[in-house]
Amino acid sequence: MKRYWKKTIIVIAIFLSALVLLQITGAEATKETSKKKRKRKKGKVTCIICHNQLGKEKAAWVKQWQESVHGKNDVTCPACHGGDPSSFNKPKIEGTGYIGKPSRLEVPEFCARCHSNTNWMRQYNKRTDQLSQYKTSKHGKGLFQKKDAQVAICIDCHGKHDISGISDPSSLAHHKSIAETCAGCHADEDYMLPYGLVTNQLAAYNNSYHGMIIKGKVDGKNPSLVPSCPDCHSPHGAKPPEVAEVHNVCGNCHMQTEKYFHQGEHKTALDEQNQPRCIDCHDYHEIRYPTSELFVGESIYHCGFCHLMNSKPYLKGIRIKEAIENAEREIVKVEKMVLSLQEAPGLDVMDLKETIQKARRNILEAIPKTHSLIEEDVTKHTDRALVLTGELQQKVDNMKKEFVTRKKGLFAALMVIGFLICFLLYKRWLLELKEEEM
Amino acid sequence: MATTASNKRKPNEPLGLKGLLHWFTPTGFREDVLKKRLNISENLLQKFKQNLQPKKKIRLSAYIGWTIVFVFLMECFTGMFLMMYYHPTVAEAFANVRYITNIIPYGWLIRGIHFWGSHIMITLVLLHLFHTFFKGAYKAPREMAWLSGVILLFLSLAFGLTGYLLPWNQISFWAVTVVTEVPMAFPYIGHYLKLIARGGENVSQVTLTRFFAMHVMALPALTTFFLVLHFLPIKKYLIPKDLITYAIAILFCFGCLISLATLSPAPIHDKADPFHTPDKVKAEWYFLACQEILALAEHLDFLGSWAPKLLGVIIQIVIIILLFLIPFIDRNSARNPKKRPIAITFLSLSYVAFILLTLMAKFR
Amino acid sequence: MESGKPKKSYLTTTRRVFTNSLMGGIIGGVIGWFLYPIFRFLIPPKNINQDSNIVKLNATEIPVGKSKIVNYNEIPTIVIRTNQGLFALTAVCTHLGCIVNWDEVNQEIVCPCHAAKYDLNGNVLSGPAPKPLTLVKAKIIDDKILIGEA
Repeated sequence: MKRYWKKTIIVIAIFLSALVLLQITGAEATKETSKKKRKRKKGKVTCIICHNQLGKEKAAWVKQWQESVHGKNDVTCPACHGGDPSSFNKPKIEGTGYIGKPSRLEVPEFCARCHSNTNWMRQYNKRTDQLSQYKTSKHGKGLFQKKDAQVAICIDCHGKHDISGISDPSSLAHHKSIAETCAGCHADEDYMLPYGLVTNQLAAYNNSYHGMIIKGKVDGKNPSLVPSCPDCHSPHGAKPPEVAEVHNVCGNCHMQTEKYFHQGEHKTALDEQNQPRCIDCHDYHEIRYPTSELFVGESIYHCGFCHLMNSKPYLKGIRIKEAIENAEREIVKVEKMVLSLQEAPGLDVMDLKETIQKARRNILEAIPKTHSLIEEDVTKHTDRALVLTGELQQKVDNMKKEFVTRKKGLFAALMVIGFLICFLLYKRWLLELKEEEM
Repeated sequence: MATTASNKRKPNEPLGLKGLLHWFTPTGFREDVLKKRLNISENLLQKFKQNLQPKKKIRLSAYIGWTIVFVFLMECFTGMFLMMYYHPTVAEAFANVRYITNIIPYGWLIRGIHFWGSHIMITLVLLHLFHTFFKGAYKAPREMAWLSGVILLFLSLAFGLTGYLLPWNQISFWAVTVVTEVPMAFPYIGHYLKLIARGGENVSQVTLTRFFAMHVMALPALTTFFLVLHFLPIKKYLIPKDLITYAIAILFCFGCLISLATLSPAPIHDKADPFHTPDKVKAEWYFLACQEILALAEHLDFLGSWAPKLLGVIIQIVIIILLFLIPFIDRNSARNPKKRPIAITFLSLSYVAFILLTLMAKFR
Repeated sequence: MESGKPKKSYLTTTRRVFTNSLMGGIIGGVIGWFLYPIFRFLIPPKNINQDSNIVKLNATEIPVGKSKIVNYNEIPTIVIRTNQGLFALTAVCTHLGCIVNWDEVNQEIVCPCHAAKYDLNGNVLSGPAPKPLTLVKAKIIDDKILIGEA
């Protein structure tokens, strides 16, 4: 029995000390939250009461705040601006931590007081790295190192009192609006003059395949899956990707293509000579839907721009292009035949159409493989497509033959029926003759 | 005449295998033996033979009628064969129809005949109706033939509607959805009528099963019953010469059927997709007139939002009731079309209206 | 029936009988020809991809010494795992078509209907079976049993 006594005492001691520790921290936490809650409740009442009477602009802040994501989530005035709304008379007095209007230079840190507070943001399941990211961006460097208040800060994209979540379509930072928001500064020539930046990004983007999709101009493509400015440049750490980063940036979405790119000679060249990046063939802001035309010609973005015409790599490109185009041509040809069959009602072309889709899928697989520049990889798929189209051709011919056979059988049957009818008519005539005799 | 060897024996004496031989003569059957076996009285036979005597010239209407019987039998025949490979389940029905049409030897032919048979049958029924009306054949004492005939017309339409759903393709699925939505026009009972038609809120497996049951069990039985009722008042049987004419008619009809089945095979379309309505949902041509009446009734919305649907349906019900009551409404006893100008005008107008409505719906 | 009518000459009668039966024959032939599609319709074609099907089983489904009846190309097939290896045979007894069982004790395949017995290679040991059972290719790869592949 005695042995157990010691152990029991130790266990109880540990337990008690743990309890005490918990008690202390817990009490602190509850104290803090209750304080905050009180603040919120009273803040809501007193700030609004006066501000609503302070004329247009200041009353508008209240309204904007009420409809903002902060207002809806009970993040009240003092949460940002400090002060003590419980003391009705002098809310702005020193010692209450009151911040009026922060200067542009102060804004990022002003917001970060909450938004970089992991403990606070956990409940909203929000990221907290915005400030640290921002500091690495061109904007952040300008703001913090050069004290340039002209660069973009939080409120330029997210709004001030009317901040709404980025999933809100009315938000300036919404996926579909952010390009226009960025362009608000970046397309302004005067504004960009001191920085020496070009201003054609938005125009180029709107012209690009991505831009077309985000505007809903491409059927069957989902606008919400398409990249806008922040998807390539990072939302808060905005800056242009480095040379070696480009394929990673594009590869975030175009994973297969990136995988094949890594297998090929162009990747080796990129590692050694910093070329070619994705954008050297596909352009960057004005990315168009790539066609096999890229393999031909000397103009910019085409193979011939870097490679000598009729050089070995150039000819290889041509061969790859021919393989794909040839298979595509065959598919289109067979599809036309199948569609013409379909016009004859009742012929079941469902299987044939499925095979066409299968052949198409092979082409779809072959196209990203062009990035590996391994000819066999591409022709493997185009050859499969060709085999399928060959089979289809055979099937279509068989169907046509079958139809002819049916028609021949019908003709024979109709002949027999015609003969029988003639015979019956003859019989009937005989009977009529007999009737007349009688 | 009826004094043969068999009569000298005791009537029920077993003869063994010889008894079977007794049924035959070198060129055919022994009439007297068979008569006894089939329990046909001399009286009935006499009556039958009397009826076989040529009386008047047989009506074209009767030929059409008999041809309809032939087409109906063809439908039963081909339908039975189709049923051998068809399972009325949502998962299988469409695949079965494709299997029958593409894989089974001559499945396309059997299905084609069944498909075109339905169209030809309804065409002939409408012609028969027209002709019967034109000749005034519905007049006393033939009211029963008219009534059963009208019922047969609706049975044919019901055959068309129920059979239409069975391939379970997009067109049929949505056409049936639209048609079974029509009863919703009635206040209070509309919803129950729809539930009865569909067996649920939507066209589903239950609908398919009950349409199948109707198509292969209820409707053929009812049709047979009303066919008998239709034929009872008819006194003129076919004489040999008319039989030949009839044979010619059905041969011609059969030729048409196989030609249509071969040259314009029964369509397959896409599999029914309850989550995607095709652009233009149209019923079979014989329902287009009804569809158009409903569409035209849409213009009655100035009477209130209830009006278009309900009035559209009520108009059709009134037409149907009128159709049934024609022999009782028409009190003119004359049968010659020239002596019944009002009836004939009415007939022509209604057929013109039917064709116009159909065409309007077709090119809508 | 025709006793009241003037008797026709023998020649006319036989000629009419001849033409009529000729016509009957022709019509019969035509009907037969038209019925041919029906007969073809009733015989469904064989499944074209019949030999390409491979049935996969987990090896744990059949412990050593046990057997299992599986559906291989719509034919019941008995798969037996013994110390001697894996055997797969058509499970339809060649006598009257019952499905055979594996007798673990006596190490033979027995038909429950009329006690026909076969060995693991399908040879008839005793009983009324006229023909051996057909062997089906089968093998074990890792933990999978593949039926229909050598």
